[in-house]
Amino acid sequence: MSEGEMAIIKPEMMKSYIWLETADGSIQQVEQEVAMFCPMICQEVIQKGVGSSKNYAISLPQRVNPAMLSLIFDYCRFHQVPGRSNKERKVYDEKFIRMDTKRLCELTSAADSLQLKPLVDLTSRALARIIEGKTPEEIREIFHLPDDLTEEEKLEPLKNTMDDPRIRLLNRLYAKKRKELKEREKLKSVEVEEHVDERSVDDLLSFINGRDPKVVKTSKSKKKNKKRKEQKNGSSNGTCEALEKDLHNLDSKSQSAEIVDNTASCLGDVSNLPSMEDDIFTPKTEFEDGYIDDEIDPALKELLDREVEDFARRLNSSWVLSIGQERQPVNFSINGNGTSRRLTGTCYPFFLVNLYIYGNSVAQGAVELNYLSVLEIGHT
Amino acid sequence: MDAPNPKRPCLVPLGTSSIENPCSLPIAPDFNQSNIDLTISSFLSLSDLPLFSLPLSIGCSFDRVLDNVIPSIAGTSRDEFDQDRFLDRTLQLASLLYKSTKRCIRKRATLQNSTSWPLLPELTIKVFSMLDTKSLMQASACCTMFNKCAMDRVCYSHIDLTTAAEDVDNGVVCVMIHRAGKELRSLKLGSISSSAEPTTSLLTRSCLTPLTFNHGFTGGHLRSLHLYHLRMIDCGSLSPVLSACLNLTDLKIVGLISGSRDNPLEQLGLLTRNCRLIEHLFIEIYGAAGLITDSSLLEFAANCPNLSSISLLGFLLNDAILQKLIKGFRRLKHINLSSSPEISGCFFRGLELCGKDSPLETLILRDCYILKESEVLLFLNSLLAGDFKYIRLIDVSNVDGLVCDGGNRTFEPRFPIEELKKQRSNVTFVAIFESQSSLSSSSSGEVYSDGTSSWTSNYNSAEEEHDNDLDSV
Repeated sequence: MSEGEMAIIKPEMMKSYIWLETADGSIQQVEQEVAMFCPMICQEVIQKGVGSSKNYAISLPQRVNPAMLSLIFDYCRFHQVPGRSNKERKVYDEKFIRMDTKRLCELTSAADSLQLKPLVDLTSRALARIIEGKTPEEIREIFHLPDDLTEEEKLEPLKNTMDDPRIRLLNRLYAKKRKELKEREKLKSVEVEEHVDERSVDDLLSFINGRDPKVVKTSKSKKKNKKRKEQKNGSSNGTCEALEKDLHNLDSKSQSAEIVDNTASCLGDVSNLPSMEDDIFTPKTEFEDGYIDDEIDPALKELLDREVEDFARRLNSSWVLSIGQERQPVNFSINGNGTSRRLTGTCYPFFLVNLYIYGNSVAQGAVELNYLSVLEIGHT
Repeated sequence: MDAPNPKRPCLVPLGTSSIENPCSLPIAPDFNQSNIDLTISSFLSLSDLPLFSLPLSIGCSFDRVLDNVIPSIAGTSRDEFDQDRFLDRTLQLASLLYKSTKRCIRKRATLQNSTSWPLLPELTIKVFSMLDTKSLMQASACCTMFNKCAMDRVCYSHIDLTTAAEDVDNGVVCVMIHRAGKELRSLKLGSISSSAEPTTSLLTRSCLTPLTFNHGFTGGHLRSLHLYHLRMIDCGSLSPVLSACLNLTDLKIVGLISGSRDNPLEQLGLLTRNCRLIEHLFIEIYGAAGLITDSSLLEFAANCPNLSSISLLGFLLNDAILQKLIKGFRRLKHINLSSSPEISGCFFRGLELCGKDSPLETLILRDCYILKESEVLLFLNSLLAGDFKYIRLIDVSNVDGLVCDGGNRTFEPRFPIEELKKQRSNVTFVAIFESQSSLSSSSSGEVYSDGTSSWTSNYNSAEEEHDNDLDSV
């Protein structure tokens, strides 16, 4: 070809366009360099050869609408020019990001579907900056989100969803680990008896009838909540640690005690507890699948108290039956004030376990159990 | 208004039957589910009837039905009992209906939200992974979709619980670590400002044990651990945790408790025994009084060959130990040994041998009580002679001034500042010798960097700057 013809052809080649079709059917053309900046379009052109003419327009994913497309191409048009300095690019990016949040979200989505990673990062970071430091109400307002969490879920954002099987498995692993840790501790200081089963029934019965237990009631329809347990342990550990130091000083077979308390008010009680004596039978609690409740409103507390008394009575009578068994779900119903409640197995499974006795004062006669902690016998 | 409604009779029989037959309150066995559903749906569709001024009339109907419960004549106690039960049960039904409706509303909202939210879950998770921990928690309390996205483990890869130190307890830490799983990379706990009452912290010594669970599964992924003023944190409680953190490169403990008889360096060795990849070590120890032995130093040096930044505050290191330390860690770039009351500076002399090629970049010896002016002078002269070509920051500030040759203390040492500025212009030399309260513009404290003079701020922020320095390194 002659020089002149080449010169004529070149400008045409330089102005090559790529044809794109958005999900709503509108077709537009963009300069090739700009469009090729997007990996997805690039791929389509190279692999499938489409986009060269109006009839063979590249069909874009659904999330890209024409408005977003033009924004994206503005971005590409700026950044694909190699000669720009980093500072220039940054300044452009800052200005580019200034739009309302809805458009920002749509832009992120569109950029993601076109696989334009730098723009995705930029927009994601802008969204993160918007969310940062705001309260949930503000965030809901900005993004027009519905308020569809229960009060409970809102107050406890750190609670795990119980349905996750991974969590249940991990709970069991944690339980095992805790047991191992405690075993190691025990081996260091004390000679210990591991299994509840070997204890005599009388000891336990006498505990229920005569001792002054400061044990904690666990109940609730929630299943294992190891985190709350550890939370409990954590909150009471402060006072317990002082007590534990006393305990370790004792020259006996007494095991180190651990107390878990339900409410903050009980922590006061815990700190008043005297150190242990030898003759008191003090098994260790194993919080395997313990059920712990943090916030019990007064009405529920009352109900729980009644339940516990009832349970204690049943315990006396049915203890011989249930001891030695792995797990014994207990169903019972309580009548009081004319209302009848039926607590079914799924709601309140109680697992009879090691009971914690704490305190050296032996109260004669029946003792009102404020809280009863019921935990698992043996191992999982 | 009182025209009988063909659908209303459904209610009345139930009411009357329960009054007549109080024993049948528990659901009869042949009253199957579809009947109940039909009854309920017909009751709920009552409100669709246009003929009546709706709430008013339904309210009146309710009143009428319930009024039937109250007997005109005082009945037997058994009747009263049944009436109580009936009314209680009605309340129960009302509350169940209310809760059920709320649940339905929530479910609908969730559904609508999931269709209208423009981002894919992966993108939402990506945005959340750029949030700090506190904002993440706020976001997770917004709606169910955010809640679910915020549970993804990528969001918990850098956990920073120092901003909410009063509310954090062991359970929270456990939950977060557990959620992070294998994505856990950095963990910061405690309250950074030591002015906060340490007793208000809810964290105990065992707060880090989740790192050791499952044979140290999460601990093994952890790269950076910062602990600020945790209660009663000592080597005994930390060493099982750190032995699980095999890939730890950055360890910072502010407020480590040491027994008065324990060799602090040995304890340090115990702590870092398994962390062979450690590069940045910052330990501020309280109560260290034990003797430091050479063997413990050797062990420590052998265990952590990659150490490039070491900050040991409150350790009773003396010059000999320091010299060996610097020689032992070949890659040491940043040294901060502030508050070491036994360092007089004669270790500088020993450094001359390795001074030429020393990779040392930062040397901070603030508040070293017996630091001698002459020794610092020697060091500066060696700088002028060309040693320590990588050094960038030297800090010998001291509230009590430096020790002169005569045994007095000087607040205006004679250092060759001008020549230093000329020859080594990229070196920052910090030497503030007055307490911050009496700082004035023309007093003896001087800071030079690139020929300009400006004050450095007080210790804490200088430390943070130092940290930032490290971060950018």
